[in-house]
Amino acid sequence: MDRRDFIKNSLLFTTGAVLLSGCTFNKTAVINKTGGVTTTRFKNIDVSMLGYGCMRLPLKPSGEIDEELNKKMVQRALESGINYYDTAYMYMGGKSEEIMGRALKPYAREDFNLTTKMPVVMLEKEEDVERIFNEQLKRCQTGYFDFYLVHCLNKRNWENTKKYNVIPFLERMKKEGKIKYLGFSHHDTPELLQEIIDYYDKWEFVQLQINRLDWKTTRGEEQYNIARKAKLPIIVMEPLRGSLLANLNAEATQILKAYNPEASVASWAFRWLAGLDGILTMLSGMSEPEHLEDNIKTFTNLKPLSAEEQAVYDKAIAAHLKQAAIGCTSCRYCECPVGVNIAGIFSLYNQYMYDLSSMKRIGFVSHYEALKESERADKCIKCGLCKPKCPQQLDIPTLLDKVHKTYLEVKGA
Amino acid sequence: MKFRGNKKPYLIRVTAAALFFAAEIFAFFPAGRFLTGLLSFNFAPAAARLITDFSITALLIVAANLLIAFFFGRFYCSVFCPFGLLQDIIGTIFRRKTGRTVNLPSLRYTILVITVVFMLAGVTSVLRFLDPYSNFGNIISGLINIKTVPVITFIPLLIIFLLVVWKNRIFCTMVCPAGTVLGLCSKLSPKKLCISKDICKGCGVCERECPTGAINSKEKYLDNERCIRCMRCIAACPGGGIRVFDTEKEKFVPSRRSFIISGIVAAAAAAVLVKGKELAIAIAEGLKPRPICPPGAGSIENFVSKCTNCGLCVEHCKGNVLKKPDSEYETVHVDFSDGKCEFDCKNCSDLCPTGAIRKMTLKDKQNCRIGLAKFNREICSKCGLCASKCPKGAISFTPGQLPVYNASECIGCGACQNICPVSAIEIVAINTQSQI
Repeated sequence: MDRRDFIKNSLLFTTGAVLLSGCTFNKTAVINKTGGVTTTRFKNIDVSMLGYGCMRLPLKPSGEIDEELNKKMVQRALESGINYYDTAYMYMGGKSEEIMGRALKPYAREDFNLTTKMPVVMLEKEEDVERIFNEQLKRCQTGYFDFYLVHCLNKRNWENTKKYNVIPFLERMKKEGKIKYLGFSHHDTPELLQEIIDYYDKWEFVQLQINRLDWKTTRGEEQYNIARKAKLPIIVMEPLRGSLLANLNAEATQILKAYNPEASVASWAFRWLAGLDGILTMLSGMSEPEHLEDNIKTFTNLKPLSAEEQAVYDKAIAAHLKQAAIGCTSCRYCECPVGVNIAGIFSLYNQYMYDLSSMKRIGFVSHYEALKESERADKCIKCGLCKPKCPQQLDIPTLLDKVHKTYLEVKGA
Repeated sequence: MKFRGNKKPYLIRVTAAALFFAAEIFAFFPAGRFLTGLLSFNFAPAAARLITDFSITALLIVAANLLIAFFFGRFYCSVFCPFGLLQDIIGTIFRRKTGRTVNLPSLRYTILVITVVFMLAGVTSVLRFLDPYSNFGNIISGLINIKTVPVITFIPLLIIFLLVVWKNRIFCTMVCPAGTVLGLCSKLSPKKLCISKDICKGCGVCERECPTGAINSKEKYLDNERCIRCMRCIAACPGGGIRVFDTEKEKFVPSRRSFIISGIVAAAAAAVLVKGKELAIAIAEGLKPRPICPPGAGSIENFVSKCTNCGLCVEHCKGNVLKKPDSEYETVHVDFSDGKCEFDCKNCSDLCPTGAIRKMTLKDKQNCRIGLAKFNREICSKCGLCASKCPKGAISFTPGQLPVYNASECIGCGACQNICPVSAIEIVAINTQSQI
């Protein structure tokens, strides 16, 4: 073999390798619609009442995102008429946008609505806004976003939004056609919500945390009313309050199952929301295919709760609330600097609190001890950096202390 | 050693090498701070820097090295490379003659390909075991800290000692990836050092003197790929038969076997490239407990996959908090038991030749959080010293009360831990460094 042959062979080899390793042809996949979830009319488009939330994508047992499963679920979702996909820069440790970009790539762009959000919490200078926005387009492999939100507005983030001229920039993007509809997601008091709505009169929708648990306790009702008064369509986030409403305690579950053994616990929460006017879509982070199937069932011919069902649901929620729990939604914005698995610990604690079986103590201790030592509650150094980041305004260090004490007590007993 | 030929080139080269070697050692001492720039001329760390923390300077250094090797041969290895010079010294002491030695091109190419692929995958720390400069740095800083470092620090020294005693500078022609690259440049050059077939009488002195085994006196052939331009042969040749000639390009003819082997290596390499990031994380996760990293390292995963353990930062750390790998931590790490990370010092960021510690402005360094303070409020004596020493004003103190810690201002410099008389404060590692 002489040099020319060698080079030729190497080139062939490399080209082959590149082609094999995932060079897919650009072909638009056809969506075979098999069903249709209920939709609402927004401006001149129909939006599915069920939105595909990308803050909780399916995971492999190893903890990494199961991209293949997600692709299959996206296909199934599209086929069932789900056309609203809600990702964000920060979701899944910053991987969500890329993964959704790849999952949606095969389909015609006009067949789905893609939503993402400006992470104002991360802004350090005005140039960051444009840099992040362009990065998002690239990550999502798209030329435009249908819905675009200013992400997670609370007092501090709202200051950032104004300080770094986020709204003027996004308005420009709208003129350039890179954003179709502009809104914001809100995580603070009704007073601030009012202020934000009053500040800018071209908001087209608002994303609020509304669910049966937050309705009274964290002033969800007031926020809902403010949005209604401003005539803003509402996108509901955390309809299940981070799966809390899908996993009510045993007593509450029993009440619901006794009334209707067929309906899942989660379906009650969605149907409760369906009774409210002005809801554009409800975002559900479906981390397992079963969640998706159950939701498709609920949202096909979505019916609000009847008055009788409403009473049953109220009774079940009351039974559930008798036990103390931590209102963590596993959004993981807290990002503990020393690596304490805050959301994981709280979810274990909640499971323990809602579990009525005799095995609950053993279950709690063994699950807790399955956490890496460096991720456990006693590793918290009480620096408090998580507190301002928590959209649920939890006093995380104190709660971690409480969980760890519970663990020691349960273990000792 | 008897030199019957033209001694001048050899003497010039030895003098230059001695000067560089002395300077390179001195650069590891605090007083030699002004000489540290010299170390960044080293080839492999500059190449690593292209990937880890790109700079035009690094690009120029790499280009200069390649061009010098192309036009003049591997002078880097005989004049500048501190690890090569260390081998020369050992070789001189033991008066070893190399004689004819094995030439294993496929081995050195395999090592080179693996190294390059690891580097492209972001795991430049592969140089920790292969790059001559990093090994030299590790040995020197190990010797400086001989009382505290574990014995395993000197394993590379032992290995290189044995290699030199066996076959002189065989490391440079069999293993060293930097040498392989420069060798290839030298091989491609039209100007080569050759043995004149007319003058040479085949006495074989040159072959015996050659430390890399690059000369075959019977066939009157000098392998420019392995020749490190030490000039010994020129000094030894009684007839002056070794000179620079223009030659034809050598034919590049790989055998079928080497072709198959290189294919396999390339495939393995591609696999590493794909899995590189995960590998780095796996390596970092193997490190328990997780150490505090110097400011600019990013995260422990990043640092472990980039640092080649040359120890230059350790020797120049003003606060004496950077420590070499020890029995507890397998990587360079921050330890506040002897001091604090000095607020106005950013030597580690300035000096790191591989870019494992990013270049930062002083302001960025002063806002770079590397850890957070954990207070043991039960044993606190409420003296308030921590508050007075905190350069960021992250601790406020009212006499008679517990100090109040504002973590959002804290960069984890260790000033509080260092001053606390009752050891109530401990700086703990964080997963990812951030600018506050």
